[in-house]
Amino acid sequence: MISVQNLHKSYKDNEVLKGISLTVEKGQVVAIIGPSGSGKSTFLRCLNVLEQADKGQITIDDVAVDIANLTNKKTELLRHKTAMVFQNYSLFKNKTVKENITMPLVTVQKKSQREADSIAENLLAQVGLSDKENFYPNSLSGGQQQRVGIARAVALNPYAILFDEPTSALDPELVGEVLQVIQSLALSNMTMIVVTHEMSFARQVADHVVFMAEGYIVEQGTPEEIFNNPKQERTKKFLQQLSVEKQLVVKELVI
Amino acid sequence: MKFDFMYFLESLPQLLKYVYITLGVSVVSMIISFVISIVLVLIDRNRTKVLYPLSRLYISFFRGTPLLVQLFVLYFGLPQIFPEMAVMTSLQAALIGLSLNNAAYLSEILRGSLNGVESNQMDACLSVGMTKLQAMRKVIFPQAIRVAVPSLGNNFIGLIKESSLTFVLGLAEILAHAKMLAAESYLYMESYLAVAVIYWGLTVIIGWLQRRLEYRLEVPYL
Repeated sequence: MISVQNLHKSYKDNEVLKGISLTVEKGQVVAIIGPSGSGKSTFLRCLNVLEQADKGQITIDDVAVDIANLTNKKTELLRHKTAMVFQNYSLFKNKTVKENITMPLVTVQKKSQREADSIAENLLAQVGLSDKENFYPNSLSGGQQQRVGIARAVALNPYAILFDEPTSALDPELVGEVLQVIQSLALSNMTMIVVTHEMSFARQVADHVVFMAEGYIVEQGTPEEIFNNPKQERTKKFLQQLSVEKQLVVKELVI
Repeated sequence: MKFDFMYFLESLPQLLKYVYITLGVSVVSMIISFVISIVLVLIDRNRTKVLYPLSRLYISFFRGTPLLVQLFVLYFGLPQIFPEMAVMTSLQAALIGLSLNNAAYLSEILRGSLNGVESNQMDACLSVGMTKLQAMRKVIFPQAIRVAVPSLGNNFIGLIKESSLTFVLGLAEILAHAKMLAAESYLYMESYLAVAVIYWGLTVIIGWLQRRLEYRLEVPYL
């Protein structure tokens, strides 16, 4: 289980997270939606301490930390519980596709090169990139890079995978291939927290949807509850705005 | 024309015999200064207490005063204050002086190149559980070095030429030998032109090696 209690984070005078509490069960897929600047990404980055929150408690599986007395050792333990998929892929640019996956396994998890290689080959086959294993990230499309990013995360065999807007930087025609990989992961019972702007994806894949705005969790529930019967005004406004924008886009296309 | 072309040609192999001193001093100083500069740049990135202002002072001093003055202070000045330093040979003084001086420049080159590595690369390293040191070694440094190589090559060429200053300490590198040839024969132009040609040749070779290295490091980005 992942449990977050009363997480606060400020940048100077700007309070980005104003007391976030959230529970995620093992195997659950949680989608976090909300307007930009609502703190979604910051929240995700606080979970693996890429950003250090100011206070609160984070428990992931058997690692419980109180941010107030976070040590380097605890940070390391917490980070080992999760893997992350980034908006801009963030593959290691000086490593080949295969090395992107094997290097963490060898340096962090102390696996043998041979074992790491076979894990990487296996996962690359699963995401359909076996023929690219000796390519460098720079020569891949965004969608391919993101699939490598996902394979790198899965290879670590983490307790949970954190997705930070995994399709936001992609050309529209490449979004599908990445969502497909994430969906198949969801089916394999991987615990996932996905910050996303893809509402239809959140609706289809998530077990639980969290709506964040202005540093708070405004509302959470099943996709059904959030998308069809939102209770809070803020949620309704956000969803309305999205559907208006969608119509505008459609109109533009028609014209 | 008062130019003894034969003497010029004959002095080339004479001087080349001592090129190993110039090259040796330069290469060893480059290696030592590279190690020092890595320490300096790590201090800079971590803003380590106490050490950080000291490292800035170090860089400021060694970039802000002439190498020749630094060599004099090191070789002639310090033994006056600390008599036990009088045992220092001119070779040791040359190596220490060039290394300390060059480290200040190198650390600024490395600092700039490291700043050029996208911050998401460190995020990615940490997210897979690597320590900061592992991240530096496996991902950040290799990417920074690629950006740094043209400046590093430039720096090394500069170092080879600056090593000529160490003749004032009595180190018998090629400029010192050129001076001796000139003094013996009174053929100044021939002797000094010969030494100039040798320096030039060295730097051309280094420039060529540098471009090959650049090309190799560029492979992941083609």
